Amino acid sequence: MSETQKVRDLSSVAELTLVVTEKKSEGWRLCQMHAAYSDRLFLIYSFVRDQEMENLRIYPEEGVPVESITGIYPYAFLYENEIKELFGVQIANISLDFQGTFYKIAKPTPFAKAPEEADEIAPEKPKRPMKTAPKKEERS
Amino acid sequence: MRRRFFNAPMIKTALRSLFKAPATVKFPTAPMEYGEIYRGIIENDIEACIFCGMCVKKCPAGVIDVIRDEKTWSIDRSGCIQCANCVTNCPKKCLKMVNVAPAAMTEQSVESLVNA
Amino acid sequence: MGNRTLIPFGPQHPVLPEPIHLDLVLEDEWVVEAIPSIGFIHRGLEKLVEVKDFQDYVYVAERICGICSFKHGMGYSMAVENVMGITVPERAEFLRAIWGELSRVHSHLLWLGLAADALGFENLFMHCWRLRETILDIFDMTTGGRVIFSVCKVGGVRKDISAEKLAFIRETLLGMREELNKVLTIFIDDATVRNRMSGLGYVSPEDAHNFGAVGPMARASGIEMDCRTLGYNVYKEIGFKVITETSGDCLGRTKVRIREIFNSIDMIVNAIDLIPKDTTIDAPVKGFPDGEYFARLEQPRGEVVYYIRANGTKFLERMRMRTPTFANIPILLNLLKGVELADVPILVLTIDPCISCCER
Repeated sequence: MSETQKVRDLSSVAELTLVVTEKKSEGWRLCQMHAAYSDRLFLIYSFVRDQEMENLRIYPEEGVPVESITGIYPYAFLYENEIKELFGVQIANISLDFQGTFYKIAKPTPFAKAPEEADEIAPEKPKRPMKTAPKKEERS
Repeated sequence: MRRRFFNAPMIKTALRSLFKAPATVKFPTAPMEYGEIYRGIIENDIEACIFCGMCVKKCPAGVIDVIRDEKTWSIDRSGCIQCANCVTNCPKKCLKMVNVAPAAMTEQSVESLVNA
Repeated sequence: MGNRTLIPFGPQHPVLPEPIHLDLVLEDEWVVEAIPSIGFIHRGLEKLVEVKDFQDYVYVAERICGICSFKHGMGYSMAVENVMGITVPERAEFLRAIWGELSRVHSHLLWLGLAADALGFENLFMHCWRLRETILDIFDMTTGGRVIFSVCKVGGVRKDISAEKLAFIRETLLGMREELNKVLTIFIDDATVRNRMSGLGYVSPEDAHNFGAVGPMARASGIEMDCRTLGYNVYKEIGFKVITETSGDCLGRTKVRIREIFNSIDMIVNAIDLIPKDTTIDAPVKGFPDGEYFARLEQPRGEVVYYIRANGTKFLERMRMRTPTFANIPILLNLLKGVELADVPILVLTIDPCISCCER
C-alpha cells in the first residue's frame, strides 16, 4: 500500500484533548476509533487528511476516566458509546450517552478481558454438535 | 427554467415491456437451471476415499466427521457453508461439489456413507 | 409552538433493506430531532476472530453483508497479506479488481432500485433489478454463487476465469450500456423523480467535512474523497475517475452513483484487456501473522477501514472493521432536521444504509 501509516503513542491521557484540538484545526478528519489489547488495553484514534493517515494511541489507567472528544468532533459519540459498551472503558462527558443500551447485548462488556486472561491459550476449533443419531446409509 | 410538465420517459419503457417476454422464470412449473460451477452439495465417492481426515481438518464450519476404523464419512448438510475447502484439499479427489441446491429439511440430521 | 409527538421509524419499514430504528421527534409535520438506535443485527463478529483460524475467517468476513460481500473478504485478505508481507500475483490482483468493480455495479443498481421503490415508482425498481440479474448471472458463471462468492483468500484468489468467459463478460457489459442508459436517465429526466428528490437533503461541503461523511455522500457535495486514489490493487493501471457533483442534494447523490456504474464498466473492460496471461493466482502462506496494520478500501458505500493485530499464533488478537454506513449516520441525523415526515424514507435511503455491515 502506498500510503503512509504512523502510530504515535501519547505519553499520557491528559495530552489527548490538546492533540485532538490541534488535529481539528489542521483539517484532519476523524476516521475511526477503537480499543484493543496488547498486554494492556489501549485506544487508537485514527485521523485522515487526503492521502495520509495518522493514529494516536493512549493507554487509559484503571479508575481514571478518559475525556470524551465529542466537544471537538461531535460525531465521535458513536465510537465512544461502542467502546464503552463492549470494552467497559470509562469515558466521561459523551454528548449523547446511551448508558449501555447502544447494542442490545446479553452479557455486559463481552470484549473486556480480565488481567489474568490476557494471555490465555486460544481454544481449538469448535466441533459442531450432531443433533440426531446418524442415519446409516449403506452403499457398497 | 421552464420544465415540461409532463416529462415522462418511463411511458416508452413501460409500453415496450408490454410486448416482450417476461424476464422471470416460471418456477416451479419450469425447471430451475443452475450454472455449471454452482456450489451446491458435497458428494463423496466412498470407494475411492481413504479416510485420511484432511477434509475434517480443513472444514471451517466443522461439519464433516470421519471414523477411520469403521470406514465412515459423514456430513451435516445443514451446517455446510458451501465453501468447497474440502474439495480443494482432498488428496484423492474423491469429494465433488455438485450443482444441486441443498434440499430443504425439517430437522437437522447427519448423512453418513460407509464403505462396508 | 405546535404539538410535539414522538414516532418510531423502523426497525420494520418497507423502505429499509435492513433494520435500523430512529425515534423521530415531530412538531406537526416537521421533524425536529432524530435519535438513532442500532443493534438489531449485531452478531459480535469481531470477537469470533479470536477462535477461528485466520485463514478460515475469510468465510466469516465475506458473510458480514450480502451486498458488499466481496469487498469485505478482499479487505480482510489485504490486511493480513500486508502484515505477513505476502505479495499477491498480478493475475490475482486483476481478478480481484474485476470482481470488485462488478460488486460495485450490482450494489449501485440495487440501491437505485430501492430508491425508486421508496418513491413509489415500482416499475423503475423492477427494471433496475432486472438489469442487475445480468451481473448476478456473471457471478454465478465465474464463482459459483450469486451473492456469496467464497473466491477470495489470503494470498490470492481460489478460482480463475478462462479467456472465453472473460470475452463473454466484456461483450455482455458493453452490450448492456445502451439499455442501462435508457433506464437510468429516467432518474434524471422524469418529472416525478425530480420533484421528489431535487433540493432535498442538501449537504454543504463544510457540513460533509464536519460530520465525517464518506463515499458518495461527500462526493456529491464536491469533495474529492475516494480511497482508490491510494494506489492499492491495480487501480492505477485500469484508470478511474473520482466522480463528483456540486449539487449536494439527493438527486446529486443519485447522479454520482449512476455515473460510477458507467465508470466501473469502463474499468472492467480495461482490466479484461490488460490482464496478464500467466496463470498463478495465489501465493503460498507460510507461518503466522505478527504485527498490526490498517487497510483502507473503497466499498460501494464509501471508505472502509480494517485494523488487524496479530501476535504470532494462528488466531488474530483483534480485527476491527469500520464500515462507511457507521461513518454516515451522524450526517443522516443532521439531514433529518427540518424535513417533512413524508421525506424521511428517501433521506434514510440516500446514505445507502447497509446496517449489517454497520453492526457486525
